Formats: sequence, structure tokens, C-alpha cells
Amino acid sequence: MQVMTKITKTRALTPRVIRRRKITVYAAILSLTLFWCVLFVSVPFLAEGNPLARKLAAVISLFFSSVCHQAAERSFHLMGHPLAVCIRCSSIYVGFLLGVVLYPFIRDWNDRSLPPRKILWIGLLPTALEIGIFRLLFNIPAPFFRALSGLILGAVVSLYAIPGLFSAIQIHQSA
Amino acid sequence: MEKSPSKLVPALIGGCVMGVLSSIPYINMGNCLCCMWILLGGGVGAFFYWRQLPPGTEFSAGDGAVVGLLSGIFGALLSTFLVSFFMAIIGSGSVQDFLTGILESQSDLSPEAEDLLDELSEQEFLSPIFILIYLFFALIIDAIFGTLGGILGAAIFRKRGTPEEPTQIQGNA
Repeated sequence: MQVMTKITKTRALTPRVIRRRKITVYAAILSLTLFWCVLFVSVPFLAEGNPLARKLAAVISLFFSSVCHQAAERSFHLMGHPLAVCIRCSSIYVGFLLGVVLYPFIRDWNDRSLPPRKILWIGLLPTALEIGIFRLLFNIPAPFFRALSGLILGAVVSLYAIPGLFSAIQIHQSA
Repeated sequence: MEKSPSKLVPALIGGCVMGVLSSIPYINMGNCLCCMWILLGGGVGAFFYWRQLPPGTEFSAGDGAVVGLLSGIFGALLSTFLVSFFMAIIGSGSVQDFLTGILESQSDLSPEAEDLLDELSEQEFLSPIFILIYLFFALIIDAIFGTLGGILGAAIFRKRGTPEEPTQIQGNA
């Protein structure tokens, strides 16, 4: 009975409501991703500010410390300060943001399916090669390749995340 | 229409994997590699949910996202508990070492920022404030990356069995 009610409610959605919901969810994803990127890029600027801003920079660094090693020699620097995350993480997050921005232009919003699995493996390949060749085999710093592979990985992951989140809130059920 | 299997048990399993691996000292450093353990926890939750699906059923990305999100919430709660437990047993030395590491790596941070990290280093790590801050940070990060892990898990596992005609299911948390 509960399932039937749910189905009836979902089917009652008009295309206009569905479109509005998709725009809302997309805007939320875009805003959160942008906020996330602003957060880790803001640390060097805050570190140059007043005492309160400097404390905020430390809190942001602490927040990102659970997801990144934050080694200064492996991070991008702005105004002499390292960003809150390393080159690879920064690139993945910026790549994800780029993917979110470009998503409406490269995929049909009404397509509820995830991209083929092989695209995920192709997206992972440059990062795996970079870690395998530059890091483990020769142990030489390759910031350009680290950044490029991170950008590709982040952009590819966003192609899965957006339809996944659309599907999670059942936008596609009646589309 | 078939009712979908429960997401709770797979999410609990995923949350356990995530919480345990993210809190054992030194092993938890794996999260520095693209949040490996958190993504894995979400993926493990998605895998166990996929195993419960009847043959021929499509594993939707939305179901993967919900399982991953729930795994992230359970994982954050468990890791907060386990981190407190490990600190009670082995002391907060490893956390202090870690904060000292941040201080050293961010040596060009301002004096105020260094003061704040110093203050945190000197804090009693089993204090409710520290546990609440840890839980808050863990909930945000585990929920985001757990959801992502669940979606990627759905992308990897996709369909259960080889159906003649896929069965559509109605999501139910």
C-alpha cells in the first residue's frame, strides 16, 4: 500500500516540477562543489589576513587533514602558503567542479543511466599510471602529470555523481 | 513492482569497513589517498546491497547513493567511537604527532594558526568538545565520500545476474 502511494505520488509529478527539481539539485551540487574548492583555495588568503582569518585558515587546514597528507612540498602554493590539500587532491576537486559545470553540455539530463563502466577505468588509468610510474617506480616528482591525472579523474567521477544524485532523490522515476 | 531489499544491513557493513579502517592508527592514513577507505566503505555497502538484489534487477545509482550515504553516517559514528577508544588505550600521542606534522608541513602558517594548532595539541583529546568536532568533521566527509563510493559501486556492479527482462524496483530506505 505504501509502495503504491509512493508510485502514485511520483507519477503525479509534472515535467515542469521535474525540471525544477533537477535544476535545484544541480544548483546545489554546483554550489557545494564550488564552496568546497573555495574552502581549500582560501587558506593562503586567510593566512595573510587578520588574526581571526588566520585561525579560520588553521581550522580549514585541520578539516582537510583527515582526507589529505597536506605535505607542503607536494602542494600548490599561493602567496607563499600551501593550499589546504595537495596537488592531486586539488586537481581532483577542480576536475570535479569542471565536470559539474560542463555536465549539462555533455550529457542529456533525462538520461537516467550511468556512463559505461569503462569510462571510469579510463579516468582512473592516468592516476594509476602516475602513481605507479612516477611515484613507486622512479620516485620522481611530477606535479604536472599529478595535476593532469587528478583533473581527468575528478571530471570523470562527476559524470557518475550527478546522475547518481538525481536518481537518489527519484527525479528520474517519472521522467 | 518488487519491493527493494533493505539498505540498512549493507550500509552497516559498509559503515563498519569505513569506520574501522579510518580509525586504526597508521592504517587510517590510507584516507590520504583520495579518501580510499571512505570510498571503499561506500563501495562495500553497495556491493552487499547488490548481492541482495533478485537476479535480473537493475542496481540504480540512486540506491547506491543512499546505501553509500548511510554507510558514511554509520562509518562516522563508528570511527568517532573507535578513535576515542584508541586514544583511551594508547593515549593521544599519535594525534599529537599528527598535529605536529601539520605544524611542520605548514611551517609558513601564521603565528595565530600555529597557536591554534598548539592549543589543540595540548587539549585533552577525550574531551567532549574534541569528540564533537571530530564527529562533525567525520559526518561531513564520510557522508560526501561515502555517497560517492556508493554511486561508483553501483556503476561497477550494475545489474544482478543476466536477465531476460530487467525488473524495475521501487527504492525504499
